[in-house]
Amino acid sequence: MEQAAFVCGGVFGARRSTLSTSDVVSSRSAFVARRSNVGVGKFSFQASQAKRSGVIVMATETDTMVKADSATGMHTAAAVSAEISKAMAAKGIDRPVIIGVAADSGCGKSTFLRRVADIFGTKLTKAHTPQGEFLTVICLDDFHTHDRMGRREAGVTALDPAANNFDLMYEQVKALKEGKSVMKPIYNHETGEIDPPELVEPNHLVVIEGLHPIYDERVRELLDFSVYLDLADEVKIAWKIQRDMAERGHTLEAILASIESRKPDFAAYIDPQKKHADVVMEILPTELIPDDDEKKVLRVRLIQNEGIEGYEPVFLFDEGSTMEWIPCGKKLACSYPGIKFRSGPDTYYDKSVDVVDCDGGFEKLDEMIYVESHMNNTSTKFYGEVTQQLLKNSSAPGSKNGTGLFQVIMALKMREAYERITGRSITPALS
Amino acid sequence: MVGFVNTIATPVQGAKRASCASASRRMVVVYNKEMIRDKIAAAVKEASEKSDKFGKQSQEAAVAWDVVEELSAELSHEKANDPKADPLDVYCEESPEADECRTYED
Repeated sequence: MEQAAFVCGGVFGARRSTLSTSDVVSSRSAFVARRSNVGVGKFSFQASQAKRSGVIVMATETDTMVKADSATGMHTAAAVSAEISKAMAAKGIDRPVIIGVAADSGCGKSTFLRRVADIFGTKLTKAHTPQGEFLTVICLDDFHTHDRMGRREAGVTALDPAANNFDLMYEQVKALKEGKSVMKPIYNHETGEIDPPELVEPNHLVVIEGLHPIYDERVRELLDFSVYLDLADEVKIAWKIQRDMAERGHTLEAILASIESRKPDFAAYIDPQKKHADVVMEILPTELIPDDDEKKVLRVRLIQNEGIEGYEPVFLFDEGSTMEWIPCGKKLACSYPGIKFRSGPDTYYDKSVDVVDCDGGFEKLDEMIYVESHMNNTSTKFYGEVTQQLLKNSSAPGSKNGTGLFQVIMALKMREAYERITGRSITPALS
Repeated sequence: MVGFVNTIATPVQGAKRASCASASRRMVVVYNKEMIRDKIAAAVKEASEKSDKFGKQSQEAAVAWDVVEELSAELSHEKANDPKADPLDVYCEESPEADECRTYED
C-alpha cells in the first residue's frame, strides 16, 4: 500500500506523519484540511482561540504574529509580525535593502546569487528560503495562489498574474522592508503543493527572485534595485535543450512545443517588466561566429538606465561616447572567436540608457585582467576584483564570457547600492 | 505525491557517522530526482496529448507545458545543488575541526 510520508517543519519543530492512499484519495479538500492541521496541532488549537483576539503567539518565537490582511485562499496561515522583529536589533540592521531579480528560469538562479553572496562575503544556505547572516533570498513562486493541480483546474499557467497573490507579496515584502518578520507561504516545486508557511526574518539584504518581482506597481516601489534577465529565444531554446535533452521523456519536439506554448503568457505578463527594471541583462546569440548552432559563445548586453539614484553605469573609455573595442591583437592573444566589446548611449523603450556589450569569451587570466582594467565604473574596491570573483567560481557557467563578467559587475553594483542606501561599508573578500 | 524523507543507518565496516549521514542524504537526493523524472515523463505525455487534442496554441496545452517546464527547472536545480564532491570533503569543508577531518603529518 502506498504511503505518503512527510515532515512538517517550522518553529514548532518537526513532526512526521503518514497518510495512507485511501485518505489521500478520499477527498482532496479533506486532505488539505487535515494536512494543514497536522504538524501544527497545538498551533491550530491556539489559533482558534487566537482568532478571536486576532493575535497568534508563536511558541518558540518572540515576535508576535498577526494574520496578514491578504491571507486568503490557500494562504490563510500567512502572517506578519505586529512590531519590528527582534532580528533587526540582534543583527544590527538599519534598514533592509530589497532587490528584485526577474527571470524565467525558475528560482535558484544559483550562479548569479552565489556571485552576489561572494561579493557580500556571505554564504547562501541550502534551505528553501536561504536566510544567512546577511542575505535572504525569497522565491516569488511562494506567492502562487494555486497549487499545481489548482492551476490545471483554473486553466492558468504560473506566468499568469491570476495565479499569484500580489496583495500578499506586497504586504510581506513591505513588512520585511519595515523590519518585521513574516510567516511566508511555501510553494513546493517537487510536489506542486503549497506547504505551511515558514518564518522569514528581515535581513540586511533581501533578494526577491522569480517571474514577477517588477510586475506589481506597489512591489516595484519597494524595490531599491531591480534586474531583469532577458534571454533571446534562440539562447533560451539552446539552454533548454542542453538542460533537458539528457533526460529521458524529453524530445526536441517537446522542448520546442513547450517554449512555443509559453510565449503568449510570457509576452503578455513577464516581458513587459523589462521597461521597469533598473538594469536589463540581455543574452543574445553571438555575432562573431556565423551560423552558430551550439550557442556556446554568447553576446551579453547590459542595458543600464540613466537617472537611477546612486547608480553609475559601467562603460568603456569615456562615458557617453560610442566605442567598439576588440582587445585581442598584438598585446593580447585570444583564442577563437575572441572577444568584442561595445559601449555607448542608446534608447530603450523611450528611455535613455547606457549600454555595455560583450560578445565572445576569454580563456585566460591575463585576458580577464586586461579587460577589467579598461572598464570604468565597475564599482570594484580593488584592482582585479572582477577577475578574482570570476576565478572564484571558475567552474560555474558563464565564468569565461560576458554572462559571468556582467553578473559579477551587477553584484558589485548591488553592493554599491547597498552601501549607498545604508551608509555602511562592506569589506571586500580579499581571497 | 510527497517526497519521502528517511535516514538510513546502514552499517558499513569502518564507516564514520559523517559518511553515513552524507551518504543517506545523497540517497534522498537521488530518490527525489528519480521521482521528479517520473513526473516529468508523465507531464510531457499529458502535455503532448493536450497539444494534440486542443491545439498547440491552446490554453490547455500552455498550462500542461508550464507544468513540464516547472518540473524540468526543479530537476536541474536539484542536479545543480547535488554535492558531486566526496561527501566527506563537503563535510570537512563545513566543519574542519570535526574528528573525522583530522589530518596527520606522519
